[in-house]
Amino acid sequence: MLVRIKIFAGFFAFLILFGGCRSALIPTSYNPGPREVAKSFTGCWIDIYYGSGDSTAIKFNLSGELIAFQDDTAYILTEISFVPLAVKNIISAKLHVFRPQGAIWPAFGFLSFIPNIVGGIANSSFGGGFLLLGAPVFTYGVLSGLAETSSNATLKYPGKGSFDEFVKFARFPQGLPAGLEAEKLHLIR
Amino acid sequence: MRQTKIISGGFILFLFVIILMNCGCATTLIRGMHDPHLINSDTSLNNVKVHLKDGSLYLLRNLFTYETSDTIEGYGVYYDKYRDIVKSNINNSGLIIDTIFKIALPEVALLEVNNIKNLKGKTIAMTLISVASLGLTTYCLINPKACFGSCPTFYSWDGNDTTLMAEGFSSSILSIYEKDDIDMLWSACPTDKIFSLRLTNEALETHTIRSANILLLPRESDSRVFATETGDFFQTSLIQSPALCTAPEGDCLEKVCAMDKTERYSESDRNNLISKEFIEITFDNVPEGDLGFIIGCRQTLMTTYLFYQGLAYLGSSAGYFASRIESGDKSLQKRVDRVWELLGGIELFIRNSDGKWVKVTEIAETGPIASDIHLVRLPATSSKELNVRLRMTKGLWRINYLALGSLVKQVDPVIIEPSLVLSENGMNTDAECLLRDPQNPLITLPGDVYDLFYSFPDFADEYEIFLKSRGYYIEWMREPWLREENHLKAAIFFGMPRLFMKMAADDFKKTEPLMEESFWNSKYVSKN
Repeated sequence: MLVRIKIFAGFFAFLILFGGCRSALIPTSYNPGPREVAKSFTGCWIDIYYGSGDSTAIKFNLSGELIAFQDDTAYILTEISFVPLAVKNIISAKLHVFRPQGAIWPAFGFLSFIPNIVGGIANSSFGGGFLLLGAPVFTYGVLSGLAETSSNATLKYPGKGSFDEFVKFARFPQGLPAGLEAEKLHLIR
Repeated sequence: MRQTKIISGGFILFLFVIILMNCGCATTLIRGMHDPHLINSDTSLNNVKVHLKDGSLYLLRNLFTYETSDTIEGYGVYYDKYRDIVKSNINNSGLIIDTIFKIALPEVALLEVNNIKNLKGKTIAMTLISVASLGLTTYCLINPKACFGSCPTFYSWDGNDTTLMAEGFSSSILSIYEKDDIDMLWSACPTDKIFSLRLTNEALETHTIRSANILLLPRESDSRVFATETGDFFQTSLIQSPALCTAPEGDCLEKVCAMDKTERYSESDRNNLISKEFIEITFDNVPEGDLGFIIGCRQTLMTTYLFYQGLAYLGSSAGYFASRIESGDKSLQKRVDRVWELLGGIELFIRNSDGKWVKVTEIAETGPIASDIHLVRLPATSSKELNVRLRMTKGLWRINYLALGSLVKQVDPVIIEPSLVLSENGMNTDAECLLRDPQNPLITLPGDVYDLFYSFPDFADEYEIFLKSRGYYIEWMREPWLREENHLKAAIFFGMPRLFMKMAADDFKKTEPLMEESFWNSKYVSKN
């Protein structure tokens, strides 16, 4: 029974530790939870891999706030500059709409499952019974976490997101306003 | 004393529905961008972003639009195009601190509305499941004896589903208590001449089953066959429900009219576990001739609780005392029997022509899992009204069905032995001896499942099905019970049971409300 409990515990720990791994570092103010999106007053954070079709051309990664899409140009505000990028040369892009919930649910399920692990260890005669008692909440947590893979927390290009969809998540979805002084733009901390 | 590992079908269904409903439901943001000129009605919206053509932004908690106005109004925060705050007319608490924003529609580029789908429902579902799981687990941690338990259980097809039909020899807790047990398979619904039963061991027990035979009793279509406590079978017709049924809590007629899942029961006495209560029943239009009183009932989990508590107090000595009883120590056996005698069965009285209550019999079948139906032959009466009184221990019995019937004739059963016994994995486990030779019993361990098949003969008439099983079981000692070992309490339990029933009443009361629910929601024991 102890072996079984160890296997379960290891599996849950794996889910907790790696379920929410992110490949990008996003400033906190650009990484709102789903309920906070309605209160956000900036554009979404975007990671772009950029380069022309020419194999000899320089390719680079760039991250920043999506300011606008206009006239086949994407305007990005990075930590150091305001950058216009030709849309046709964007190789891939990842738009972070809100904080992914994929790790939240398994974590919640695991936390709710802890009493069952305690029960299983404390009452080895009923160890299997206690683990089974907690199975529904844990299963729900894992399945809910897996379901989040189809969330639109992150939009990818190429992929399920098109640039037409990206436009809505820019600071200026209506396009760059007249008289904008680029040097006055700043990221929100 | 049977404990189970059954999850109720409804509970499983509930969980699966919730899980399935949410499997495809990821948290999704729906962002709507609207042309302000399309807003032409009097309305109010919450949490709206108003993007102006100059790049500035109103982040409004409340937005009001008017059909006849070319302005929109709201409360919130106004940012310039660089997202520095220009003005706010609400504070951090959402209280209004300044005049309302009035925004000219021609200056507005877009209205942005955000909706999050599936988050709230998911959060509620997760919370509900977590709370339920935590509550059940906590209860089982505090009182594992109420959750995971004990005896052989028989399932069969009822026309819609495979359901629990009977529990075998629940009072046979040692080989010395081995006896026959006859259970009516009230709702069994054979689909052809091959009838099957599923036999399970769902507890931490060893079951020794010498026989599990089917008794077939032909009957006429307007009658049913019931068994008496002595094992006699009577074809019974003109079955009628009571006209009145009154318990201490009031009218309970509705709960005892049909053999369904509705039961009449009461809670135990806070001061004494063997306090008694009465139920009084009246039948009108009593037919002439031989009469039988029909009662469908099962025990609550009080006996299970006391049985486990007794084992826990004996602790490591339980095996020693069990072996003494098995070796013929009648004195010790009487002490054990005394405990169950104090709890008692359901005593049945009828009111005679002098108005006095006369005891007819006592029904005392042990077992909290499956309701069984008993027939009691009543003394002859010429009255058109019959008054029956049931006397029983408070909180010990669940009454499912009460009726009166006219006994047509005594009938003899056709005994059918299993023609095939298959273990869960489909192996035919020695068909020569399984459940056919009492000297070579079927012994099952926790988690074992067997399918028993019976070949029915051709019958012109309808028939009633009973199960006659024989055997005994040995309860396994659990580690947590050993921690409760207390020979002084064991001495009181078995030496002065009347005193113990008073001492234990309060402790039992604390666990009683949730015992039944926890018991049925607890899971099937896993086989290591």
